[in-house]
Amino acid sequence: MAKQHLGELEELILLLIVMLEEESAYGLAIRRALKEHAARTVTIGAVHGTVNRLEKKGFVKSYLGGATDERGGRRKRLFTVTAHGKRVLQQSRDVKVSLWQQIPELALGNLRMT
Amino acid sequence: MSPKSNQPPKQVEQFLSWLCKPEVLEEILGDLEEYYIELTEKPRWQRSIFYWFQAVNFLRPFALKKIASYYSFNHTPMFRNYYKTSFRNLMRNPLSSFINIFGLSTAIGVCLVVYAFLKYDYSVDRFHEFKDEVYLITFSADRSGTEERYGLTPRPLGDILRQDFTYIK
Repeated sequence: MAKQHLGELEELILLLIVMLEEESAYGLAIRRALKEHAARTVTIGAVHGTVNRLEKKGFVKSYLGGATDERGGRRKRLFTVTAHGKRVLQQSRDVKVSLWQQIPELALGNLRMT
Repeated sequence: MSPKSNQPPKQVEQFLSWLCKPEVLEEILGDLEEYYIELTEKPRWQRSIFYWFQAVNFLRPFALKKIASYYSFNHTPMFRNYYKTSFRNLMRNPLSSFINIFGLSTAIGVCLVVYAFLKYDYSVDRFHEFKDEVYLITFSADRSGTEERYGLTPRPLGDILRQDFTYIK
C-alpha cells in the first residue's frame, strides 16, 4: 500500500473515532464531538466526506448498525479505527513531538511544551 | 405540517435520492433526520434553512451518482459483444467458415515455412572472406545409365586444379 497522507481534519476525526465508544461513531455523532471537543463546526456532509476518504485509505472500517425507530428506521454507518489507522495516528504524533522537542527554548518565546 | 413536527421536509429526501448514490443514501438521510430533531427549538423558517443547507452540502463527489456515459472507460462489454456476434456469424455457415479459416491458416503457415527455409538458405556459408570467389565443384557420374550428381570431390583435386589453372588461388 502506498504511503498515505493524513490531513488535518482527517486526523481530528480519526482521533475522535478512537475516542468515541464502540457502536457510537457515526456521522452526526462525530460532528457533535468535533463541536464539543475541538470547537470546530463543519457540515454533516464534510464529516461524511472525510470519513469516506479515511475508509478508502484504509484507516477506518465501517458497518451498518441495526435499525432503530429514531431516524425513520434508517440504519447508521458505524466506524471503527483499523490497526493501520492507529499506527498512522501514532506516527503523526511522534513526528510532532519530535519537532517540538527540537525547537530551542529561546525560539519558542512564550510557547512552552508542557 | 405542524410547526413542531419532527418530520423533515419530504422534498429534501426526493432531491437527495435523485442525486445521490443509493448505497450512501440511507446513512445520509438518517443523519439529516436526526439533525432535524436537534433543531427542534429553532424557529421553523430557520430550521428548514439549516436543514436545506446541510442537505445541499452533501452534494460531494463521494455521494453523487456517477454519470454513466461520461465516466465509463470500461470497454470489455463492447469487445465481448464483438466476439459473440462474430462467432455467431461464423457459425451460420460452418463449412465455408471452416474452408476460409483453414485455407488462410495453411497459406500463412506455408509462407512462414518458405520464409524460414529461404532465410536459412541465404545464411549458410556467409562467413567466408572471399565468398564471391568460392565455388563448389560438383561431380557427375554415369551410374549404369542414370546420371547422378554429388557435391563431394576427392581432396587431391584441389592441388591439381591449382597447378593446372593459374587463376585459381
